[in-house]
Amino acid sequence: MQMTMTQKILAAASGKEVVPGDVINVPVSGVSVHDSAPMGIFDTYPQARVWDPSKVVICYDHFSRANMGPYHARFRDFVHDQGIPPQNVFAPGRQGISHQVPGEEGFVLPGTVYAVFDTQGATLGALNCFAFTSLFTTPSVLALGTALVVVPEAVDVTLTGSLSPGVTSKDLTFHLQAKYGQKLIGRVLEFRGPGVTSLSVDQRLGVANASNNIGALTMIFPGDEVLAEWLAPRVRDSYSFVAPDPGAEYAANLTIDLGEVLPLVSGPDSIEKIFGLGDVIGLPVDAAYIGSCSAGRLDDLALAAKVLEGGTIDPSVRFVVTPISTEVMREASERGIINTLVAAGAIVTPPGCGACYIGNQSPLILADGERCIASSVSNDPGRMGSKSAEIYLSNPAVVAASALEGRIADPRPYLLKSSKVSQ
Amino acid sequence: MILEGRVWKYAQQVRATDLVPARYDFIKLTDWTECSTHVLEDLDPQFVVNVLRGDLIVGGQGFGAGHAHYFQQAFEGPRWLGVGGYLAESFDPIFMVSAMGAGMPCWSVPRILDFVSTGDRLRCDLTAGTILNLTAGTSAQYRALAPEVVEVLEAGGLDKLTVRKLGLDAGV
Repeated sequence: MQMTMTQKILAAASGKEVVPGDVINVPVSGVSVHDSAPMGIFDTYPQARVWDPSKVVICYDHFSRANMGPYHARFRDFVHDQGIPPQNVFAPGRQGISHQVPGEEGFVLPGTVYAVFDTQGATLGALNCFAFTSLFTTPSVLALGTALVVVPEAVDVTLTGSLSPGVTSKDLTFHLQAKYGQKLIGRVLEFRGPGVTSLSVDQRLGVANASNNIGALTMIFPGDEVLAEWLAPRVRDSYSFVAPDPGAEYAANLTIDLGEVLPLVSGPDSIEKIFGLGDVIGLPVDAAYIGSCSAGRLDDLALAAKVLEGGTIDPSVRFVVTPISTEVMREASERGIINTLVAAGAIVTPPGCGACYIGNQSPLILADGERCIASSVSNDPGRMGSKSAEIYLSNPAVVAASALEGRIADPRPYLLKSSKVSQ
Repeated sequence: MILEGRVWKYAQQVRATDLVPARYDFIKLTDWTECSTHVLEDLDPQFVVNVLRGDLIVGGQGFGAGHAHYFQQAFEGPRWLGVGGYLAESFDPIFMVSAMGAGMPCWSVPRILDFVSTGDRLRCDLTAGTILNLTAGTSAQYRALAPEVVEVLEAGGLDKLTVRKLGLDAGV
């Protein structure tokens, strides 16, 4: 049988051939859990044990700030009782988002099946693996080391060209959703083509992060030199890349010229409302946010800094930036990116989920009638505070330009200016 | 494993937020008895008034699709209301695993919309793959549920199955 990447990975892990529609109980290579996960049977049965403590990663992201001690105690006890190695625990000081840190720290290898409690767990599919959200089934996955998975159909997405300046993975995901929406629901997007190599691993993680928003089960990027180089200093074991068989059958085949992707904006109140930047440009904003598992990576912060370089944000805008992880925070600091952000007037917070969701005691809470532009995941009413506040989602360059102007703005003139200065 | 009940057919994609509207996720509603009074509230307000224990919700392709934040309400509400299961042309895979993990039967049955009408009484043998339409007097054969799934559903969900497999309830 000629197999897709999805089939190859699931077949290798489960030890049998699989076809779309099969429901399988597949062994996982690891599980990542964040600090607000319900622990089900582990709460009810103190004698319950995780199947392999060395394969469990715990990330403080929703409640990652130092003043949230009561939220931290619960997992501290869990980690202790279960014998989870301290190096697998990313508590305040080492914290980061649960579907970023296991990749950075080399727990996730190409060709494997990796489970994440968080709804955005598919993000790690950027690393040439089958990463998915195990959601409410996570306690049983932790106890048994196997997950119930419906083998999905795959869509072949061939990428050509490269993204234009001021356009990022965020826009590619909006483009996929707006143009191909129904074709992608419940399926896996498998990428290939010459355009893949033009995307950094940060950008690939940003693309795969949108699986859940688009309605896809997950996405799988192919292995290449860019990924191999990213993995080399991180991985904890040897690995092989997985590629699809030449005649593998796909439910649909798409080709996207990355050069044709334009800056897009989603919102307010629904991730399904997607507009061209030109349709919403000029709308005044009270708040701006860069961060979250969608766009809080080094590439995102570097791009925002490029837009902001030498500028000062509009004094009426509250502008918050939250790096996705401690590694990204450290790297952004070393490269002077944090300096540029702060000099422009941004409030830079400790790493984590940041202002993406009011439930995590967000550092940026919106009042009635306010409007925010954010690079994050969701724009449901009330997601960042008041239900009558409007949230628009865009790439981080658009957020940065909007913070400068106090209204939704086009970042491309700033990027053009910045590249002239550096020449 | 047998499901028997009356059909409520919605010949469209029934999204997670159709099963229970998203506004109940925004208020973090986890009182499932209260949640069960809001099932299909926007799509079919008469549903909660007339539903009987064991009734089956039948939908088109991609049943349960939507942001996974909405999934828990979407299977707990109907489950607490006594809905016997979901039959659909196809399911959102994350929703399907989540719902079955909670003990809610989901059966992917291509062309189910041609085979049933609202009010029909069905007898579904998920293990054998057969559906009898007792009202229309017809029957059909589909792909049976995998033994792995039947095991989960018969245990009443993944947590219960896990507890049993690991012997955690021994002596309780």
